[in-house]
Amino acid sequence: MERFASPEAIVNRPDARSALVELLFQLADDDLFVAHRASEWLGLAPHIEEDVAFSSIAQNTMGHALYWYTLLEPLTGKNADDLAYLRPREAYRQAILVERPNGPGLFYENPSYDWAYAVVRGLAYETFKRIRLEALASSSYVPLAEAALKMRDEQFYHLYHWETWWTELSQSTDEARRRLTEAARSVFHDLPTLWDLGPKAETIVRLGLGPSAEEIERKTLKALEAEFRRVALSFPPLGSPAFTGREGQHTDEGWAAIQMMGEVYRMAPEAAW
Amino acid sequence: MTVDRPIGNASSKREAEKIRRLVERALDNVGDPEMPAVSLSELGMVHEIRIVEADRSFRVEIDLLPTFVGCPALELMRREVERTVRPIPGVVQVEVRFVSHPRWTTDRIRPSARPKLEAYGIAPPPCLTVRSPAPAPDEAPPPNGAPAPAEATVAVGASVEWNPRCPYCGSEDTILENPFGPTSCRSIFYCRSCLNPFEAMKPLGVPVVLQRRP
Repeated sequence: MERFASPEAIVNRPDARSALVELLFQLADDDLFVAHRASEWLGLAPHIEEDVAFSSIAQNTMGHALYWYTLLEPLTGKNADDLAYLRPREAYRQAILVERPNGPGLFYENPSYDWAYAVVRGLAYETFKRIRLEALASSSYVPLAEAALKMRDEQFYHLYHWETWWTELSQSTDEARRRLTEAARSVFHDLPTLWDLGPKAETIVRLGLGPSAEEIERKTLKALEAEFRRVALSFPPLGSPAFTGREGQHTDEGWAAIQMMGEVYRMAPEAAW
Repeated sequence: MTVDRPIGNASSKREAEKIRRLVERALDNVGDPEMPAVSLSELGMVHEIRIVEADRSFRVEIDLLPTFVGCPALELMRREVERTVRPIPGVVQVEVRFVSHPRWTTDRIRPSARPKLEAYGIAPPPCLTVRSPAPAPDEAPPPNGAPAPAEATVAVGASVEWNPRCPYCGSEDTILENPFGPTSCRSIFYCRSCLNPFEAMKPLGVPVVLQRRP
């Protein structure tokens, strides 16, 4: 398999470059949204230790998003902030699961967020992310492979965190088990949106830029099944969402979040921070 | 690692060599913004120093390895390194880059940093030797001189539980309170012997598992 050692090695190969850009936007936009939804919990988490933990996960994950956008800079000729905040709605590639709101309300106005949903989505996303990063460590695009290895070391702690909550809540009260079960049903409706690779799937896999959707789906489901079995909760059915986000279709809540994240930046993109 | 680009004549070579030593010494004095007790060099963050001749003076290129990808202190470190290296006579330009290969792991921390971290109130990360079934005869030397004396040996594929020693009383009767702490690279533990909470540097890239509460 051909390996691409640097941006220069791929930037003049239109098919390879556009597939790589597609994949990097999936990685970047997923982490951007996970970090943003996590940051909306700040001050609202169940206890102060959790505020420390969840905001730390948010910070690391935003760092991962920024790194992916930085890898996109030489391939797109745009800077990371513009890539994160100034694209049109249909250019975003995050999966629907990560753009879903935390619950009714807004973080600054009557938030009625569901902690069970945060726990199950955290468990599902970080399980998926671990498997995706491990597979990306052998990407044919060397800068991507190196970044994946580095992030995997850090992400170990994120997954541990959600596994801990999942285990402890599932061993606590009937209400906790009932709410985890309900949250799992919502999360699993959107779960297949994670591994969809979008319109350039064939090229991404053929050039070895990233793993196939089938490989990630199989490994993620196997890992999650083990988690449900361990705590004796029944494995919910997978949904079949009308769109995944990878093709550029998004929910209004997802687009509203982008608008909010970029609100200040769009006022004066030239300002130095 | 230090790499000098081919430099013209013998006297400029000597000059470059002198600058390299001064840069190394300067970097030994740039403290981590969040843990000033230890320097970036001691943390194993300095990957490569290049001295490049440019019009009878020298440009210094320094490659640093971020501990965490999203560490918000990276920009501070870059500025501090530039500020410290630029006044060295003969240096006209300093360029600091963060590179992700090789990836920073806690194995890169120099043995000399460990007691300093402990004295600062932060337990150093576990120092492990991974025992391979057939050790390679010519293994690459460790990145920062002699390796720290290993606290434990683990077989390939195995892992050990992270159980730091309390930096205040030295007890090993400690429990993980929160894997996340005031910075990305630190966790919070509790010492059951002296009843103090304390911080510990997170192991990265080494085979550990975290304590699960009973």
